[in-house]
Amino acid sequence: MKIRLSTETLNRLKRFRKNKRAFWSLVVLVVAYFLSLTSPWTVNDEPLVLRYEGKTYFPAFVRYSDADFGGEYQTEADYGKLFEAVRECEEDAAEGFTRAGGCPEVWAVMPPIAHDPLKADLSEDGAPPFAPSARHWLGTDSNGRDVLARLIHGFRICISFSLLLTVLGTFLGIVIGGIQGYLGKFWDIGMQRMIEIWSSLPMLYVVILIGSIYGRSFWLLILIMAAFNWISLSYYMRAEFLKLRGMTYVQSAKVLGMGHRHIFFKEILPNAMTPVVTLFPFTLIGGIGSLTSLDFLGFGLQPPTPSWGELMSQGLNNLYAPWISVSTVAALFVTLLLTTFVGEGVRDAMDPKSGDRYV
Amino acid sequence: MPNQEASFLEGVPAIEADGLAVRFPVRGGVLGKVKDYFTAVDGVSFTLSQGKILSVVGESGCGKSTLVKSLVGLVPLASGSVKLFGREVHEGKVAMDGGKAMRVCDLVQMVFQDPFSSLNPRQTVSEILTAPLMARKVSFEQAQRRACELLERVSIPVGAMEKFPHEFSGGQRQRLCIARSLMVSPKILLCDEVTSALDVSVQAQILHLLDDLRRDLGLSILFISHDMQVVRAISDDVLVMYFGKVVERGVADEVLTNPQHDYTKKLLSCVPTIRN
Repeated sequence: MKIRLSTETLNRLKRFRKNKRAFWSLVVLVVAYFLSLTSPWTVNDEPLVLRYEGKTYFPAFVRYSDADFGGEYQTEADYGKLFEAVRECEEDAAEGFTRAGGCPEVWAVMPPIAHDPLKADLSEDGAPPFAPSARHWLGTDSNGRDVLARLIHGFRICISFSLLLTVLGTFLGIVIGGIQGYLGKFWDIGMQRMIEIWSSLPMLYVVILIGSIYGRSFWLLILIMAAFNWISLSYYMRAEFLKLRGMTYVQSAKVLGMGHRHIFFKEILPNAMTPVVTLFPFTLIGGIGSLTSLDFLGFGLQPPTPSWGELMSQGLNNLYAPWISVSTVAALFVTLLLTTFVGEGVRDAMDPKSGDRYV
Repeated sequence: MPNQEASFLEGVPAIEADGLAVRFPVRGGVLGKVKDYFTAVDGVSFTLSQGKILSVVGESGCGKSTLVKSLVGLVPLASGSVKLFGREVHEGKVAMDGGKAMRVCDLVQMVFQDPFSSLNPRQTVSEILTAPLMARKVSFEQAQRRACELLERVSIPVGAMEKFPHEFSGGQRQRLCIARSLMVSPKILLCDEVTSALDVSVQAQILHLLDDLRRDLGLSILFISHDMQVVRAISDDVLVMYFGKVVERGVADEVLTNPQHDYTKKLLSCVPTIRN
């Protein structure tokens, strides 16, 4: 079956495309997110390709043990130490102390940013945080971990978290608000009162409470936050469904004997998508903001997960190391700004009067 | 098709309605308590014979539309009973031979007044037409084939299948609505002021189409209108309603040429003519 977009949808897409700021913000965000999805392999201290003694390895993608490279243990190979050992051996050889069996031949392609976000690099003199250098472009945090690597991994986790949260919250908002508007009568009023009670629960305390009982995992945090995230959307969906269920095409679907599911999802929902699409970018911003602030307060994801909120609190605790706070705040600012531009563009595209000027 | 195997007695009226009443609650006060009831349809009885067109006439707000909506279950009946082909309607179903039940929506279909709001703007013609059959477990290919047949029947080019409703004129949209209601092969068609939103030349086309369909498919049609010219042109029988009650009924020609009730006379004298 050929999918044909309705003219209204096409017009909206055209209006969004015309808004250059919003369109390019979306492009930048999408590209940045997809690039950041590769960060487990490209922002890592494990070589992408490694030639060792005539054999080829792919350490960034496959786990090799120390024993594969002439070590004794089954633990994961430490490639930094491996390169170190080879260099020492070659230095020794240059000085005339040739080891038995000679030095192993090593050749490697390193990822573009060759730092693990979880590993401390204490090779420099003194105590971390280390200032930006050729080795650490944005410096290190107070544990000696690369700030850039943590920012990129933090971006991936933050956006994934916020996307999942928004999708889940949007789904709940559509279903709950839609049921209210679709059924109407005492269902509507009863559920509305329940929602008011539910929305008066302080989310932060619930997160802290449940986090302290069940631990702070990624999925648990999404579930708890999604349980509060849908409420504002449900108000809009309720209103849309209340309005649309009286339309003649919904009545004729009823007369034709269609089921409730068909009427809900096929007849009403496609006509009620405006608040869903308009609120999506702004809910996404809210998700990024709330995860960052929870991490900042120390109630977010379990450390040492790379996160922007944790970097910010480190920046606050180490004000003499401004590279931590400046780069984190800049990254957060740009991300939120671009998402807001996209949100504005979407909102204007959904509003047919958006181009009008009332002077 | 859903109801080809169903057998119907010849000579039995398509619809026998007895003492139909529809009441709407009137709410008031701070708590929105039901204070009173407004009776929109008050003890209406009528008979629609098979293959005939029965017109219901009356001024706006006299309960014509509510009467039709109560027949398809869009408005709950306060009292009264409906028989379709001599079988009692009970909770939206009709008991058939062999203990089987048939839904009223497989027997009775409705075409609405406003062709602009009765087609979902987000669906293509193909989706609009095939959905009723797909909901009845008919395969998409079969539903598509039937949709093409019906489009041809209502004189809309088959190329319309992938178009959206807003690409059609009012008359074409009303034809699409008629085609959609015929998708489930109903025996009875309820037409709620189907021509009042259309201009006169298109009205005539739609009326001809309905008359042709009645003849070819053996449809029984309940036709609602406030336009006496239209009623005169199409109907076999007439029912005159006033404030929810039937004030006059009979064969169309007799009622329209020799009205007995004062209200009918008034209604007929309101028909605008060029001279006086």
